Amino acid sequence: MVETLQEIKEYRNIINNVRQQIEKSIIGQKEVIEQLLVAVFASGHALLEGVPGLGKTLLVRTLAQAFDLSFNRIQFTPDLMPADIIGTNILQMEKEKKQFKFQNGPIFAHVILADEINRATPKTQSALLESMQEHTVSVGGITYNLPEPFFVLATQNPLEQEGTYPLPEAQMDRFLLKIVVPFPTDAELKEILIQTTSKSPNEIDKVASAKMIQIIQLAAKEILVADEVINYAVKLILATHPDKPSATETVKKYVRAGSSPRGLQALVSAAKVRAFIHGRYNVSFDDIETMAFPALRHRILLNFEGEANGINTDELIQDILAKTGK
Amino acid sequence: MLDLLQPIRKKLFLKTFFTVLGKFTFVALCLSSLILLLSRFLPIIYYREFLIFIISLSVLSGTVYGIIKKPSFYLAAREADKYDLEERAVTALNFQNSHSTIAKLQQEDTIRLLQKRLPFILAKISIWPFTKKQIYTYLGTFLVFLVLTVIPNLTDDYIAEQKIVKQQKEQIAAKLIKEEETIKNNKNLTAIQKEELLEAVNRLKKEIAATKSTEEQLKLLEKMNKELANLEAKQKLSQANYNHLKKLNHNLKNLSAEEKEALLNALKAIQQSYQELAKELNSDQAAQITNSLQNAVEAMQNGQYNNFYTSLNNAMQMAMTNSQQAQQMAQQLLSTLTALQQSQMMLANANNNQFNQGSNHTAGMQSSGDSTGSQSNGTDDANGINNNSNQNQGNGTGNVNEGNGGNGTNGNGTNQNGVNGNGAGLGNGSHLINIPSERINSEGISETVGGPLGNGESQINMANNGNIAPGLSLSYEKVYNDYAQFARESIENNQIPTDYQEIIKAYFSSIEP
Repeated sequence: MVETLQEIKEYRNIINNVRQQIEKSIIGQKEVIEQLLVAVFASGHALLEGVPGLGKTLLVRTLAQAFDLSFNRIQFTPDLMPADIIGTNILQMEKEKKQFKFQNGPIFAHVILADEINRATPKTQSALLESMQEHTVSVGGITYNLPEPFFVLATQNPLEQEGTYPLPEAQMDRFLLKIVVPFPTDAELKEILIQTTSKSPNEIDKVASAKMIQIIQLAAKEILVADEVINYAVKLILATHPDKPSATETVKKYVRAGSSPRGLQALVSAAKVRAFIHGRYNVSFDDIETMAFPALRHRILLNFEGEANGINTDELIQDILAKTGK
Repeated sequence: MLDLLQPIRKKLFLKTFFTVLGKFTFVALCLSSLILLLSRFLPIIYYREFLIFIISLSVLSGTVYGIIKKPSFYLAAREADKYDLEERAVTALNFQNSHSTIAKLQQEDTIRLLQKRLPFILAKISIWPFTKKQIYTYLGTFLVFLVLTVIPNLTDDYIAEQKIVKQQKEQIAAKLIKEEETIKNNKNLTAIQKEELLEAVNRLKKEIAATKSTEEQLKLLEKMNKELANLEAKQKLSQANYNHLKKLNHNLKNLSAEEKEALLNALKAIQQSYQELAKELNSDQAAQITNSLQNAVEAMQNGQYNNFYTSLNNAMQMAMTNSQQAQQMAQQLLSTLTALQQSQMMLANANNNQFNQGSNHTAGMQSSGDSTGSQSNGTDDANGINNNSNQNQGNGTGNVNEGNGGNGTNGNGTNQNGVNGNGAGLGNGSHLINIPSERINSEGISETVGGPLGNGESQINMANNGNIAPGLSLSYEKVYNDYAQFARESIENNQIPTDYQEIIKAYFSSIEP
């Protein structure tokens, strides 16, 4: 519970410090950084999508470094097995006695970087489901708690589709945000070039503890949302469903299924954190609209016509935002 | 918080008020223009009144609605949020009753920001809600309305005519209803009279309902007015006649046996004379008069006094219908009238004898040179009241001199149904009726009723010297004034057809004391 203005200010300072630490190694990509921070402080997982070489992995690693949190990277490959992620029971000799002991997998860390998540088989991808949703792992009938806070920050390459396994809808829905990492601008490219080729990488300071992250997460949940804003968010979600009267023409034409209620939760949670980051105590329409893209783009499923026409879900969201009254 | 939103709310109120008023007025102008346009092709009665009503109603509704539709604080907060407050005001209002720290912080933040930006927000909110496009549209509509109002409407004349017709129709309808009620409530009219009058009223109603064209309606309305006046006059005459007959009947009943006998003999003599005359001239009319007189004699014998009067009147009317025959029968009629005078005299005497009361002026009515006759058809009912159907008014002129037959001059008579009649004036000189008070051996007041009637004059002097009751006397001036007053009122109230008004005026001028 937030008690004083001072506390709020302190939390905001921490967030700003984290941002500054990330910006030490990541040039530009301000929106991506913000969205990543939103995902972290909204207690959610994020899926970063972008072509190789844009610094996705660097971004996640820098984030983990800025927090005083344990960090594990899992490189997803087609032969990766669930046990390789969550761990397995192994037979051990202890005091001349043989016994099975659970060997933690790499999932047992605060921050998990699931690199190129779509390269693993669906079976392996599914191994993440429980851990992402419940923050627990069940092996051999025993459930193991994962450390808190726990984030899965996954990356995937949208171009190279050969030998990949697109994430099932259920798993996609577990990600709070799908962050699209754009190509840097000219100025950013120049800065990247200068920074990475002429001097040694900047040292990243640990500016936030696990405890502090959890406190900030709770504080962000207290951000106020007016009825009007909630109604608007609900309208947006309903508008993503082609069978609803409020759906736009493009949605009716290209969408197979709209966002789930989890999408609405994600949207409002993300908007709250954004408002918090921006120094407000209430969510604005702008927060909702801004967070609609990362919160809904992976929750809108295109139909065949949409897929065939190469429709981008961001365009659909843009259309929905334009046509849904506040 | 609410204090800060109040000025925004006030401005929004004015803006909403003007918006609503503007919209309502615009709708009213559009409707009015449409009606004005339609009225140029279709004759819409009361379209101007309708326009005034629409515009007034719209402006009134707009004003009321604008006042009622006061913007809430919530709307004011929303308006404030538009100016970079990022839903702070709305959220603050939403959570104004929350006691959480974050809600308080949020409120403080909102108030701080609102205080800072309030002047800017107030300056930005315009109370003038209309865009240029709207203003041009409104002005264009107003211009159309103005043009349509100013340019003369060709259907106005027709509408004015229609309005007159409608008003007259309403007046006539009201008159008819009134007349109908009067007839129904008139206890002095017999059932047949009522039926006849009601039938006339219904006929008028049907006629007015059947008319279609304006010209036809106007003509009919004119006719209706005349007929209504006739109806009223007819009713009044029926009433007067009834009263008159009632009195006469009363008087006749009170005659002594000798007097009745004398009257009967006189009538028989007249009837005899007519019978002879009918044979001599071989005249059907004379024969009819003889029959009527015969009826009168029989009615008298049977005590059916109403029938007696009716038959006598019939005989007189028939006698006056043909001027040529009337000339020849003048002498005979003179006798008739003389006999009538006698009967009236006897009636007056009988009154005095029976009641020793002095309401004698009624007896004099029959003796005037101008006779107001009534022709009654029907049977004598139990009360001796006749059912009446036709009313004949005639100006018979002549002097009746008791004992001396005079030379008669032609008189003019008008029939209530609009047919001019010719009657014979009889007698020359003055007629003086003296009723000696010795008959009842008492002192009384002598009354003289008479005046210049036609070519002669008629005068009845009645004396009542009774000791029991002094009696009542009315001067000729009084009686004249009463009747002349009634006639004037009837003329002024258009109860008398135009054609007859001059005749009535001339008549009253001729008998002026």
